[in-house]
Amino acid sequence: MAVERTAELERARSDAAIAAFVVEHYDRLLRLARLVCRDASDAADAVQVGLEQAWRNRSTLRDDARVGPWLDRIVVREAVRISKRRQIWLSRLFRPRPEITWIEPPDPQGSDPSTFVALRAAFQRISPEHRAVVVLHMHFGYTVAETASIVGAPEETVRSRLRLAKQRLRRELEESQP
Amino acid sequence: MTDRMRDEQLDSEIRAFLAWQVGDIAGAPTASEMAERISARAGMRARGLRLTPQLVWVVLAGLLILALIGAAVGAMSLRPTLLRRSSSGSTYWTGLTK
Repeated sequence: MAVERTAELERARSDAAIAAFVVEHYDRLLRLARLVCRDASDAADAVQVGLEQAWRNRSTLRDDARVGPWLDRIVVREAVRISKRRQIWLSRLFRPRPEITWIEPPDPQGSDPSTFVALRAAFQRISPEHRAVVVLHMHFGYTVAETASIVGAPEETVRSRLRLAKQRLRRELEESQP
Repeated sequence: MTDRMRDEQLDSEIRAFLAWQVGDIAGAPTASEMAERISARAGMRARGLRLTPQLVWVVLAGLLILALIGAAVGAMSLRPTLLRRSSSGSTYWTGLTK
């Protein structure tokens, strides 16, 4: 009886610790995954797998101050993996993409809405690896070296992916302009 | 417009787009729902055996070793029979010992 009670208390303590860990990091990780993945359900899957993995391996993190980049690395890699799996025709056949409904920008900050629409379409077409480096470097403010460490690629590769992604986005933007 | 100005304009457009797009998380589970999912899976894994890819490889390697041992034992037990038959003068097996 006492053993059961101790196990129950231990489980409750573990659940509370997991909840605190998830609440602290979830929002940021979901937004990061959402930018890399092409839809919200894939993003949620990537975050769930990433957080589970991070929770299991939390003892391997030596410096608590590095928890942000560490989690970003786990979730970005998972998001890229899920997005690439989506591209395989067999996967598309057996797990069809759910209907995506776009929500128009609540506040386009004075930008031309047609630019956003064109960028959104172009951003969808670049590869998950290219999206990941653009998002980490241009939105989350990581340097090229930090981005390289997060995505697990050499710095030169990250620079090249950034250059190619921007070229592609520029070309699609120019083509969309009347 | 110079190339540098065009690059800066493109960068600022991409940044504005990402800042807008990052808010599009409608329909995603809430943090507490996600915490519940992870707690449930963590509890399940703590109680049961986790089938990791490494574990699958270990099981496959074990099966392969067992198959090799089985084949070796089978071959060893079959060999004396073949030798016996060939030395008994049967024309059927003579080719094996020459």
